[in-house]
Amino acid sequence: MSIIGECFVAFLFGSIVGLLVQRSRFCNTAALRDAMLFKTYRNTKALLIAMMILTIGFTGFISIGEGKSMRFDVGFNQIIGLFIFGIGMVLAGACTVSTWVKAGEGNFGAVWALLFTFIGMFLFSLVWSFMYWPPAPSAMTGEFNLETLQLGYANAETLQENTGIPAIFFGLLQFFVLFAIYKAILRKENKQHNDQEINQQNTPA
Amino acid sequence: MGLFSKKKAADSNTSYETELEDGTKVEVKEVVDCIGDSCPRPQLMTKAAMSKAQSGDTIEVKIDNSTSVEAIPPMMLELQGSHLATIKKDRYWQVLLRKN
Repeated sequence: MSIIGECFVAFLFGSIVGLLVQRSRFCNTAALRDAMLFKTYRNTKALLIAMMILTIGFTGFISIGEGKSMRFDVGFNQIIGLFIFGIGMVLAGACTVSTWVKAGEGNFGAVWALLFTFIGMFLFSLVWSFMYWPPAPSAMTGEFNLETLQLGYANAETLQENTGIPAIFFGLLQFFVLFAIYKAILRKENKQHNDQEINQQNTPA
Repeated sequence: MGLFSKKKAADSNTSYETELEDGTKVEVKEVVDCIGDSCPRPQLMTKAAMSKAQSGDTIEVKIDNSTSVEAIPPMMLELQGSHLATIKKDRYWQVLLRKN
């Protein structure tokens, strides 16, 4: 496919995802926050289903040698960075997905959040490149290196290359773990509803 | 909107009576004004108001943000309350909640 064709397909799929995210009120932040804070699981279930579909599709493509999977270095910088991102996402009330949606809806707070997400990433990338420790980009070689706190590439493709087992096997493992969490949430919701019905029967009208 | 928005006047604590769709009258004890607040602030303010409320009290929450309006009724299980009605006004939704 030509580059323009790829861009067009990406734009089409991106638009569909944007429309679905806005209409369904899907929110990654709410998926994690509401489960802990309000014990409601609507978005958590949606996130788990999305992750299940993605896992199977993604590892399936790797197994048959199709697709262009990205390679990410995993290190302690990710763990720290994602923790900071998690705090920021709950304080801002949205991660980047919902911030784009809110910005499109005309929420100026979200426009500010989006603007400073990029400014913050840019400023941090400047500081990060100057120093060797904490790990600099030059340390991210994809190899395990404890001195620079890098764990190397960690994704289904490298697992497939290193072990010779098709990536779909690891995908199915992750699928069943996610499915078990999904079933546990459904059981918990059923229990909540049953408890509520018992309460309503016990309280006089 | 949070950033650069004006401070709101204190919530009115004067109780008043309002009517539900089926004609039953309810006395609203407290009004929580969340107009202009984005998700999740209305949910947090509802949680705070519900935890302060006495059993049987009715609370009105004013929200103009559709995500929060939809998120509030499922929260009621956790907050020991019940959702009475969501009434659409000219520029906000009036969500009526009762503490069990």
